Amino acid sequence: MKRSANFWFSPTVALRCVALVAVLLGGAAGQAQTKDLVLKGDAKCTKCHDENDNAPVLAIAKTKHGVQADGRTPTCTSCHGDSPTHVNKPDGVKDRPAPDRTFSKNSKTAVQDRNQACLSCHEKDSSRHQWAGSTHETNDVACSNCHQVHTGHDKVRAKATQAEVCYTCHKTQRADSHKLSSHPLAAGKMACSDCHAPHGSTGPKLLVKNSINETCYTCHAEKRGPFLWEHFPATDDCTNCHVTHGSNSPSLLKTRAPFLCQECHQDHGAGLKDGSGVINSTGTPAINVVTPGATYGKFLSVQANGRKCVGCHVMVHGSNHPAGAGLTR
Amino acid sequence: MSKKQLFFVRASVRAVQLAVLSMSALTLAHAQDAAELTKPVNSIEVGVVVTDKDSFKFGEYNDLQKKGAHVVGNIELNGGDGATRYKLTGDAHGFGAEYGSQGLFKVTFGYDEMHKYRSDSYMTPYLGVGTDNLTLPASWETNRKACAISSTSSGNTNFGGASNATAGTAGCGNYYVNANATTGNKTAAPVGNAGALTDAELAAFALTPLQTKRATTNLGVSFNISPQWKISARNRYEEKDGTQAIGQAIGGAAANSVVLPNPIKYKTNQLELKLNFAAGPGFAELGYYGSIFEDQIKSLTYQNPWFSSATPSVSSSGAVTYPYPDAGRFATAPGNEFHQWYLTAGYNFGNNTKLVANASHGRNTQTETYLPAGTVSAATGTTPTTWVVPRTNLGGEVITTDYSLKLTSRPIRSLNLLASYKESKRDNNSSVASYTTPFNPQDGQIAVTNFPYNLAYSRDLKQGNVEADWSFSRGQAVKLAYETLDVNRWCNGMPASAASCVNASDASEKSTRVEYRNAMWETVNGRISYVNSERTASTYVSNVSYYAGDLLTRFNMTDRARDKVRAALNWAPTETLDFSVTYEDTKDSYTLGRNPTGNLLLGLESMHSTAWNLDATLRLSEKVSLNAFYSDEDMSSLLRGDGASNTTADTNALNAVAGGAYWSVDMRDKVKTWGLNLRATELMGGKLDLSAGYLSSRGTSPYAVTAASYLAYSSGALPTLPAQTLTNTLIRNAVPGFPDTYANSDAINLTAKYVYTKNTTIKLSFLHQKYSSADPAFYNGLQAGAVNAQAAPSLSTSGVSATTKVNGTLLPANSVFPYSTLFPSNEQAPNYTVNAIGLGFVYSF
Repeated sequence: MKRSANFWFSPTVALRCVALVAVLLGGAAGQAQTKDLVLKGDAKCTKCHDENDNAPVLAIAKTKHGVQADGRTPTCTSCHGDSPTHVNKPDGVKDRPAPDRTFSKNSKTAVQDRNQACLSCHEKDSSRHQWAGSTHETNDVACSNCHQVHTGHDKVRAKATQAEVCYTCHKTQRADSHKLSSHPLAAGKMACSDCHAPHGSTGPKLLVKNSINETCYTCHAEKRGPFLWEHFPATDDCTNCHVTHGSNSPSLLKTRAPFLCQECHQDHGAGLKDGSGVINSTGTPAINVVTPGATYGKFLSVQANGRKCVGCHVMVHGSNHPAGAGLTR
Repeated sequence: MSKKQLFFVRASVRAVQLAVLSMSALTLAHAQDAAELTKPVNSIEVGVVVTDKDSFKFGEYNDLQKKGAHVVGNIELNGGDGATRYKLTGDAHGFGAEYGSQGLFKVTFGYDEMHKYRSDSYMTPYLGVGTDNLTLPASWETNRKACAISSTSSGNTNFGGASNATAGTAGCGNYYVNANATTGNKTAAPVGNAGALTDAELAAFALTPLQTKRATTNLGVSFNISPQWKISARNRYEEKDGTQAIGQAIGGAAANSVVLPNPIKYKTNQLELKLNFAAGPGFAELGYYGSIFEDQIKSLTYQNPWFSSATPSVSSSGAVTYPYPDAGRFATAPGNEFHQWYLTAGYNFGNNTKLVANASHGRNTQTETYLPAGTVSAATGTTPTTWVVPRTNLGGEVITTDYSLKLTSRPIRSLNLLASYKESKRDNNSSVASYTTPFNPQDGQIAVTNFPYNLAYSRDLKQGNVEADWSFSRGQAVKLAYETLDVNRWCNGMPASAASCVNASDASEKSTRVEYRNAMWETVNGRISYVNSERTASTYVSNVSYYAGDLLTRFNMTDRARDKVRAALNWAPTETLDFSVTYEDTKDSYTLGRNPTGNLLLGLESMHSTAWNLDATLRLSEKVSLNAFYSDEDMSSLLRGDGASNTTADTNALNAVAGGAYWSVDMRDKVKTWGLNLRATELMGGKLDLSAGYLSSRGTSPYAVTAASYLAYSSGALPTLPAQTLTNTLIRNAVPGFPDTYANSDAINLTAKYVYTKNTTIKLSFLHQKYSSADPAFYNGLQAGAVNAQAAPSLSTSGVSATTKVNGTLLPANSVFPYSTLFPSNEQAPNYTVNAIGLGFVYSF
């Protein structure tokens, strides 16, 4: 009994107990966050959601959404809702209910509700003026399908990685980017958003300008003219001859000359209009033509070889030479 | 207290102290962790990439076109306090800077360079590359013999009396009237070799890299005047310099083609200003966009390699051969300006109803001074008096106006409605005048064209769209849409007597779209849509022909029926496994006859494309994931051409004896792409990230050329022709096949990232890429010029068959250089196998 009394009431035992509590408290201090770390009121979230979570949250501080000095900065609940049942799990419920609004791929939150969480602030941005009724909006694309909010580097906002995000849905364009001819997306020197406005636009195909040609001229202004001798398909629509994402023909052409040109041009004297001189795999003309009185020679080399039609009619986008009606000068 | 008790007391005190210390330390550590986790990371990366081969195609955009070591680097520095932040970034090609106070203002500045490597095999004898005047070396034959075929001989009655054994003019290279003929005229003997390149001329060909560089400077400023008002400005200035290849027709009456090194010196300056307003339910934006383009090189003058001082001659058939000019000159892209104002305004009416309106007005001008119409040749340097150039510049002006109105509404949660209207007009107000100049004076041509007016193309598009999207049950929705597009085309300033400049002045297209979406099941969702479009051209005129013998069959103005199907299915049986498949099918059919006789279709007849995409992602664990994809595209277009002259009599005559006077080509592009990516992160206790990828692309373009021929001839003795009296009619034998064009690539990519210390990461990468391609564009014609005019050279997918090399290239020493041909340039189809190893160190802080 004496020994027992010594044990329970001895100063060493008391100190040991204090030490144990202190250690436990110290540990608890490491586990339970009672102070906001990034956003106003985030303590109730970060006490559970730390960087070991499946969806790390603290990196939001590295983004514009984490700048508290900006009075417009949202809180966790601005986007996810107050989520009372998620914060305080109701008794008798096996699994903790999800927050009011979630943004993962398999979220149960309706896309329009997810997007409204973003648009409540961002709808005022001029780039979002055309969102309503845009191709992405009407196809149930959620902001979070493309954007990552809880990370310092949002892939879709970086030129080098943006295409990778777009290819998640636009898989044919991913294949196109590996064809013989393509824009320099794979090298990270160009982004999809250089041509497309993913949040809506006044142009077709979500293009950044009012028309296809206006968009192309932002980088290819030398094709804009107006020229003295215009080539109407070129001024009408670049995509009459070109594809935009990738082609097995050079210069992003739809098909190869001379046939591409012959889609519209039926006459070019003997030899060109009929495909003569087009060589086959054995090197003989695919269509052997003999025309009384004609000169032979240019067709084999000029039509199938080298720059083909553009070997002579090089100003296919228009010529400004007074003797350039044939688009040769 | 005993010593023993004292010991326990001291130990316990130490324990408390340690515990308290531990508590403090943990709290501090937690705070430090939080600080690290919430502070933007700064990083500096330096490294080297070593490649084992030269290849312009491998380095097309990544600057790794040369074998050897390439220094790479990246930097990202973030700083600031409160709302005021800055960010500096940089790599081997440029840098960016951003500074601002979030919510108040932001300034951005950046510079970037992008190289494009176009060819590393191009050769040219021209001197002065990079300037606006290209000259040939002194060794160049300055008075090359003009070689033309006489058409007077009639020694052979085969082929309707067309073929004969006439060889080239004395002093010229070989001419083969009909290479396929089995009769005696197959191989006309050479009668001289003055047309061939001399040894000195061949030696003058030098490798000339074809490459361009875009250097872009960006400056942006934005300022929030108040919570409602914001103003922003962005300037982008770009200089494009370098050398590209360009073809030029020059020489004799049949037009030779020379591939020149074209100097590029472009300057493009773009400015955008915006004023935004947003308050309550309304918003508006007023903006200006300006773009000014200038080519610092206004023209390119080049010496004519086929120059001849021979006097004009007239053959017995009446063909006139003019002396060739001693030089040619063409006009480069004219400087131009575009200024556009636009206004966007919108209003939220509540109840999820929103109206957005846009209006823009643009003015595009071009007043570059014309070059002289004549060539710079001594013979035709002075513009003949019969040539008329009515102005000193175009006085070009195009007004573009765009209006649009869009109303969206969600009256009930399950129903989305959309109605929109858009009008887009291009009104070309450029001067229109009579230019009585030749089509191509560099051929020695001096006769003026038969249609001297320049055409100021204009058009007006009006587009209306209504759409309803209804979620009729949980997870299921259907969408219906109807769209109309009316196009009006014309040319301003034409004389009243002139015919229409377009095949169809009006066209109307109506499209109906239906879509069904299903996301009923948690693991499966999909959608399918169908679009049908019918375009009708009110009055299609097929023989719009302003220039001699040019029959136009513009497909973009004619009737068209389009059917489009798109489908997608996604299946995610577990949270770690995801499959998706998409399918796209588009068919275009051009249904209006575009033959002068009005009953046959010429030009583009139909188009069909399909695309399959399969994708699978498997997350083996939180740290390891695997992705595989496969894409299969098949595109085909059917084109029909008129093999005969355009006279109805000839066409009917050919139709009477055989399958008609027409030929066709089925152009296909078949591309298969597949890839596999494995990514493992946080291995070795979070220190190692690994990724491995394989990508393969197979692109082939088989073009099947067929001719409706009454001579089913492929080999052996030529059949006897039926007795026909045809004037200027073609007789052909069908030989199937156009050389396949292909571009195949395989790439293996391995990367490893190892966290060496808390602040230091080592990156190691390996890339193996193999690329093979073939393209008849690069066959002998470019390597050797045409060996002769009509006879087929020995073609192979790897270039010329000749083994003699000049300057280490494939340019054969026995290249000939006849009249009517292509000037050799030695350009090669890209083929390479390149390995690249990269090592980099990243310091983060």
